[in-house]
Amino acid sequence: MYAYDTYDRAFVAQRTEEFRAQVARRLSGQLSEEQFRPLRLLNGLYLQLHAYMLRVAIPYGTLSVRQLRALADIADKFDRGYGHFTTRQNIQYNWIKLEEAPDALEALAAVDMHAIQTSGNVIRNVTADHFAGVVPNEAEDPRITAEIIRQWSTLHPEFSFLPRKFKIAVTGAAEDRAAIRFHDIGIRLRRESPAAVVCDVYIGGGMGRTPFVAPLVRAGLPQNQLLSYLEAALRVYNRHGRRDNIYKARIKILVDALGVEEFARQVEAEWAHTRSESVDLPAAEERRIRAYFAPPAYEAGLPLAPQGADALRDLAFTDWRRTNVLPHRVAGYAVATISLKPIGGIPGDATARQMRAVADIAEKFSHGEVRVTHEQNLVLAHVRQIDLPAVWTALAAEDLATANAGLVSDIIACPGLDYCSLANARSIPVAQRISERFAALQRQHDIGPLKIKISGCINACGHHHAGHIGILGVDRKGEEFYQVMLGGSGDEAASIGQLVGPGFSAATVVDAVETVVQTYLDLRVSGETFLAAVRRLGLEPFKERLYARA
Amino acid sequence: MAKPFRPSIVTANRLNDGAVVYLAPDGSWTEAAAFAALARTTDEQAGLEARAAQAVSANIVVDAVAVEAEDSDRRQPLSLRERIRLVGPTVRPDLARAPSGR
Repeated sequence: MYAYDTYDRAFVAQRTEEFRAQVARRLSGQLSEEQFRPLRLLNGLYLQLHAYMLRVAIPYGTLSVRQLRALADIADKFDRGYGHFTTRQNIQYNWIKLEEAPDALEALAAVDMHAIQTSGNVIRNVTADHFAGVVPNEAEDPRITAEIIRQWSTLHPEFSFLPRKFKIAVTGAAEDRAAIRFHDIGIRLRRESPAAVVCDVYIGGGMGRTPFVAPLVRAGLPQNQLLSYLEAALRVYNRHGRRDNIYKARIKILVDALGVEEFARQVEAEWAHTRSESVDLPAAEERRIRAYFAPPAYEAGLPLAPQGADALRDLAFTDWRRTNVLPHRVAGYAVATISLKPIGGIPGDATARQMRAVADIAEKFSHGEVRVTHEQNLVLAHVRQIDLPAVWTALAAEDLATANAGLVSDIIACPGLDYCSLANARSIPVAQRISERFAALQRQHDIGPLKIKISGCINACGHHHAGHIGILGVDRKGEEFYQVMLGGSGDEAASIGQLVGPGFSAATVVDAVETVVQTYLDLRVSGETFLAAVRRLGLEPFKERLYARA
Repeated sequence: MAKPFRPSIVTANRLNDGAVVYLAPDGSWTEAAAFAALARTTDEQAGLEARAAQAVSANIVVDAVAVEAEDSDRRQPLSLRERIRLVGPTVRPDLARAPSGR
């Protein structure tokens, strides 16, 4: 894992003290709210429905156990004993007091964390494949590139006032778990030869009011020239992005307006300048950062499966292993997903006690590292197969062993109107009721891979455009209604879900989802996933069933 | 045609901790909508908004706004958003505030 140096620590400490002084000036009345708001947002502090909300950056979703314990302590000391893991691999606290926010930031700084650039028109937390470094057939660990981009983009003076927020994701695998094509810039690392990794750069994707799947703008970019190329792309955006209209200010609108070829041409023209400006990382610095992501010391010759444990006779363990555990690239190891989606629970929420339990488990069984996924789960990335029963037993004791990774009850949901000042409708209760409706694991496995994603407003923090079933909450004359989309996907064959028809009330939306699922079950051919069936069938069969009574 | 006036109360977030509060008849801020000052006319609402603006200027509260409410002892806000602000997240009943503010 990357670790701060003395310069990083001094800077974050200084920034925390700067914010402490700003808060004091606000509380004493020296700063008005209008003057203070941009300052608090620069430090990740929003004002939401019930209180201030602090969004903490978790770079590419990787945490040490020390950091996770600190997050638990912050939840207990400054919040109400829990946190919410988000679709940008971050964590949010919902009940922060302004007068205590500097202390919370100080507690973060003590473990090399902060909330800088988790808000505002800047380059936000860089996300990455949550299985980075541990899955087979990966070009390389994408977190190396993500960390390089993080360092380049943090407080970059030229990009501190972009037309709009800017999100970058990186994957090193052909299978896209980072939804790179729904980002302003998505980077796929590809091994072009045994000695060379190159970058395919997708620019202009996004969700929100106007969803786009990012087109490929530059294929085969040499890895050591990535920063100068990104700098060129950001410059073109900074110059031409629509600052006059917030709804047209994202880079996706610019790429669409110019056309991919013209946008690419302008970036190449700019790159001719940035390439000569020493933006790219010196090889020695690249090696220094790379070294932090060296694989842990895996043991050789381990058994390929757990043996002898009592848990092996427990059907619940078998279910969990079948559902939440994937093969590791190293024989004898496994990658375990910790579902934060208990049936009827709140997607992404974890109590302080659960965070500490995960930290303890990771320390003992997974080389002291925890991953946060953009699907609002946690991952133990380095578990010995023989330790899986013990890991499961420890997780189950904390209600963290729900077997549903990738299934219909593993739902993404934004905070929605229960917390968010932008939301038009609640998201979480819909997710809870859907997971309860489909609680039976055998049925979930029969349905197979199915991603439901729910947003409480058009800003799409719940990624509804990329849901196999996407649900968007809207306000219709004071009542919550839910639009249903089908066929979206954030994977390597990314697609935007299509609206199936008129929305459904809060009382009927879960029935609508069940009708969609049942239609799939009735019409699928052997081995066909939900997404494949929707793509083959189109919307009509689903519409017919959903609106048959109309 | 102008929308008919509906009784309203003024709500805001307290500056130092962000808590949801309501303007009371004596000019103080209460966490209980039931103790909020109710405006039954546009003039009364304008008066409450002026007092709220003073509290914003005095750095007591932020984001003060008038919201429609029941003309009853409960003063319950009408919109779902405001009802959720009053009692807390519907998905965390353990964290719920009673409408009385307790």
